[in-house]
Amino acid sequence: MKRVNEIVDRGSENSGLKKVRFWDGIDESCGALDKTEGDDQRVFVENEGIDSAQVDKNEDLFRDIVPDYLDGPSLGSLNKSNNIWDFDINFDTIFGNEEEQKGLVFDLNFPAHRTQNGGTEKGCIVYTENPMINENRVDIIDIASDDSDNEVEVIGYTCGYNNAKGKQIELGMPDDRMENLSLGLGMIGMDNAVGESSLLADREKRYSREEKGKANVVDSWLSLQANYSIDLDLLTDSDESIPREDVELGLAVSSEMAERALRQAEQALRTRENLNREAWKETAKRFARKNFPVQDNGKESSSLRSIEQLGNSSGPFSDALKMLRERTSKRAAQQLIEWKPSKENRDRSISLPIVPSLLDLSLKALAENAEGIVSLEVVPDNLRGRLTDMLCDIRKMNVHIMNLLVEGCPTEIRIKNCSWLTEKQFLQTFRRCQTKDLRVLQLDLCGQCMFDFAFRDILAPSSNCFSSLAIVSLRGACRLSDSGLKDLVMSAPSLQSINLGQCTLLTCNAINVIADSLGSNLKELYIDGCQKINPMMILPAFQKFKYLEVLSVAGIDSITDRFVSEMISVCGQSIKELDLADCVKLTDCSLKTIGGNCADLCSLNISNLNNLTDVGMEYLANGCRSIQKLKLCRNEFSDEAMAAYIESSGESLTELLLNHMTKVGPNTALSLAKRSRKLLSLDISWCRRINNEALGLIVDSCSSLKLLKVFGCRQITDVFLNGHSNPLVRIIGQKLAPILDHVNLLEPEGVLLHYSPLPISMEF
Amino acid sequence: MKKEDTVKLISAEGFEFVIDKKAAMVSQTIRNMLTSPVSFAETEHGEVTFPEISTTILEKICQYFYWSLQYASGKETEFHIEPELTLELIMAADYLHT
Repeated sequence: MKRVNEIVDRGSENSGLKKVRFWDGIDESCGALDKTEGDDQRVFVENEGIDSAQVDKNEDLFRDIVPDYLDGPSLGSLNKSNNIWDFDINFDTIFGNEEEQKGLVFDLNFPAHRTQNGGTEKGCIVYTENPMINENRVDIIDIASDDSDNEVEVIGYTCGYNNAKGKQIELGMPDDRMENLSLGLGMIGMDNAVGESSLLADREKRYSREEKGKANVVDSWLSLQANYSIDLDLLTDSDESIPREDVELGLAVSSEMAERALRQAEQALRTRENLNREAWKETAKRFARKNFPVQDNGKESSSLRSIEQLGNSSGPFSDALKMLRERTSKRAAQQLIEWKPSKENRDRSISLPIVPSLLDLSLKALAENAEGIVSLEVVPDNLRGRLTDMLCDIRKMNVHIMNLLVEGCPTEIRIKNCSWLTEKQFLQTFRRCQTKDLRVLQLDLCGQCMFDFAFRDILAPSSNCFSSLAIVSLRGACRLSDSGLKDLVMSAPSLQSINLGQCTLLTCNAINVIADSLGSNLKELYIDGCQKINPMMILPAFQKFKYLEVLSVAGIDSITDRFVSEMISVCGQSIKELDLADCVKLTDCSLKTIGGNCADLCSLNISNLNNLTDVGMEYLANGCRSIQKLKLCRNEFSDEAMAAYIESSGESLTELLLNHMTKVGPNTALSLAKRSRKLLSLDISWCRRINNEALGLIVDSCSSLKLLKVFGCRQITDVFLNGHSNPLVRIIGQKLAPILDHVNLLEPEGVLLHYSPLPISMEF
Repeated sequence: MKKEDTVKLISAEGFEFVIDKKAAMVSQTIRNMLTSPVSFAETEHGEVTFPEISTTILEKICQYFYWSLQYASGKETEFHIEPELTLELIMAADYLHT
């Protein structure tokens, strides 16, 4: 093995550049380099081992530098930046661990020169070889956060590289030697080697050009590396120094080597890209929004009117639509909106502060001193509920308060966030609880504590039973299975409302159990997010829910039109609230069913159902004339259809969500202003077609409006914000206003069943 | 202060707090009592008795009324509540709808 270089002065001083003898190419560059900087230049060949102390010190030096070189894997030296860095640090080093990878800048081909006194020199690690430790190749490792230009991937090289030029010092690296590579500064080899090689070649050119004042550093090789990531597994911590003979990592790279390396690099790049692409496709699937194609519902779809016939039939919707179209043909809707900002153009943020109520203030004070509460005996249920809500919000809810809540013979226990509760605490607390008067039990987010035998364990010892329990909510009980639920349902014969949202283990058996034991008593059922429930299999159970008022099946994407129609045929008369968000298979047929049968519907949520069209809107408008809460999100209804709906059936609207309804515009605004006088809350986030004037008209006309959400509406400006004349309204989503204060603004207090009173026998 | 502009709030122990009508109106309950078309006994004499509210709490409530008027007019300060009062204050505030 030919010696790559003769390191002139190994080990001792700290003097200036040591001239090292390389083989041809490098010498010149050395010479060139000589000219530029007088600073200490040390090249620490990795094989020599850089002791960690040295490394650490150098790391500090490097750290400052690295950021400068973050623009791409181009070697720092290639930047036409200060000369200062050209040599002193000829390549950026990668420090520490993977997360800190920055640019990989290699430059130097200087022979290693170990300085024993360490510290002050800036040096660079020179790699000529693939620093594969155990193998002969560096594996291409994909590091997930892959988009920075600063990451450089190690390219695998075969050993063929080593057989290149005769000029090249023997670079064959037997495995054992490679293992001793000290990659103290975290450098990865191959790239560097190649980089160095080409760099070297370039460098010579560059300097000469640079000397002429027109350095032109365009390294195509480097640009290929834009997306590579470094495999830091290659780092070895070995401090052992390798015998001198093995250290010949001089960068004796000729241009031919560079070309070969370049070719290999390109090839590796291509393979890498393919691998990346596959990985990205997989990742993208997880984040992609599902877009189901419209299903063919066979005979049902033929009974729907087509879009062209919209407005030609009779009925309030069609009348409204006809009127709208006439109006639009004369003047564009936008021109009809005549709204001027009020003359008193005051800055809303400083006028009319909302005074916090004494109740809120005292609740907050109490919550903050919660550990001092000795007894909640005298506190009525609604205040207990508010107190625990606030405690959950400020994360001070704990076992102490819970014990206070279960003392005596409580009638309501409402805890909206039980994520802090452990199994043991849950059992201990509830075993002491006298549950015979308990009417409301809310243990939301109880995944941790609600295991299958929970209720069996609680109820067994003291022969407790939930004889008065009417309302139970166990959202998020992800460990609760069908048998656990059965225990609960069997011991609570008076249940009228069950909230099992996100209880993902439940299957149709759970619903069957509920149906068998509760049947027509059940008024409210929430099974949103319970993906294992197969809608078709629970249809027989639904035959028993004759008086169901509230049903939420949001998020169960296997819900079909058929399920909706069967279900409505049973409980359509009584149903008041329906949540079908994210049930993407639903089409206008469902809206037709709902419109045809659910005259008393008060609340409907059809968010994210992109198969619904204006045809469905017509059915809804004609059939459900008293909807109070309508939640739309990302639906495809047109401006005219929406306006026609509001004109015809929008009088009772109190809460309207038009989130991401991109087609909604001036027509809707006009209709809202005209018809929806009872509106309390309006959400037009991301509706870009509603401009200042339209919104001003709405807000000034709907005098009861308390809450307005305008997230993402960049078209709304101060013209509206300061110019509207509604003193009550809270506008959320603009100008860094607090966004969570409003959350409970419109929630009624102490709600038991949403649409019916509890039977008298249960009320005390 | 003229008599017509004031209201008398009487605590459980019999203490009488004479405050501005405007301040008392901060409480929705009192406002309803005093402005309703039906004539309550309270409206006639301008006195309201609260047998369940103790003196310290009623005093704090009156302080809140004035603080609230101040806050609404722009001067936003902090209303401190002593911890030992909080529990009863909550229930009184709930009752008075304030």
